[in-house]
Amino acid sequence: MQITEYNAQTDEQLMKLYQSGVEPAFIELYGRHSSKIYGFIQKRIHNKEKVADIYQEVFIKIHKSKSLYNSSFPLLPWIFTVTKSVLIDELRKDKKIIQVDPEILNNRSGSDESVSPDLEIESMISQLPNIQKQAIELKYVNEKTFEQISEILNIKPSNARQIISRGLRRLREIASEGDKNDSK
Amino acid sequence: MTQNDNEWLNDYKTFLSSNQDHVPIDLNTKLFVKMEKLINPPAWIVFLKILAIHLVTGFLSLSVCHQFGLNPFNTEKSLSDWFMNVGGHHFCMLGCGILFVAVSIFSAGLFLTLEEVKSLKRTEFLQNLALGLISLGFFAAFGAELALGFGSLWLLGGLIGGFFATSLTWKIRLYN
Repeated sequence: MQITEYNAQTDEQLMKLYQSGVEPAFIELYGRHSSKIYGFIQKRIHNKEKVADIYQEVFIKIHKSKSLYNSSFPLLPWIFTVTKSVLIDELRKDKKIIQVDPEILNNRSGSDESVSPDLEIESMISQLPNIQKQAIELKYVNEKTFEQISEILNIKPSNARQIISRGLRRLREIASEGDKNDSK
Repeated sequence: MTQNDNEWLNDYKTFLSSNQDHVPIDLNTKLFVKMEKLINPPAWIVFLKILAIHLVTGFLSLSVCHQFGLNPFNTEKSLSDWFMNVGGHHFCMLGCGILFVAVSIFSAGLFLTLEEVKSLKRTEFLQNLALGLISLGFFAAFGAELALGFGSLWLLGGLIGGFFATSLTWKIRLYN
């Protein structure tokens, strides 16, 4: 099959060819969708090196899990899901160095000293609703301003402030609930 | 629609509209180098993987089929005796070669990626020949007495076994 003939194929047909190891099918898919993946990551992460790492990781994950794709479903949502999952995994890795409001840590005064505060915070953050989780990660992991967070999450700056404030409040609640459970 | 569904949909819309950003050329190049290795793995790397697997499976297979009299597990029964009874010495050499290489290639197929199996298929003659010659070298090193005629028959068996095992592995991987 000539390279030009791949232009006429649908994403799903190309993916099927890629699944059976046809390289030009990958190149065609790459040409069609790489900028979406890059742009999406860039909107969420502003560190260029990190963007490059995540971008490469997305394609490696697409390659390794291509056999899991079912060609009877549209390809783009699948690529998007892979992209998002790699992005979230990377943010989770970074979460270990997050430093949230010291008040939250102080509220955990009765907690087990042997447990790392970072890990405690990580598990508490995982209990937040998605939007609060993302906003807090952007604020404290990526050190974004409220303006930038609002752009990334497609919300108003005042909303971004409110979501983070609610998230922090919820974290305090989770922390004090944990304390009550510890003292029982 | 739940809040999570809405979030997913909003993110997806952002994803679809993110195609104005151009990927930097150096990043494209870096990624293509990595992907090239994954999509077209070098044949010698594939061979090294097969060889490593062959060292284990080949050694283990000596427990069911003694090659050139080598019997490290001291087992009483051997498929080579059966080959010998059925078709004589020549058939035994051919059968042992087929079995020895085919088992290893088939086992390797379980561990290799689809692209690596494809690379094996592309270079199957060379890969199977090298595997056969290295095996004969090992047999000689461990004291087997190899005659040119019987050794060649064994090698031919190895090539036949390798060819069928590669084709079968490729078909299984492609349709699964």
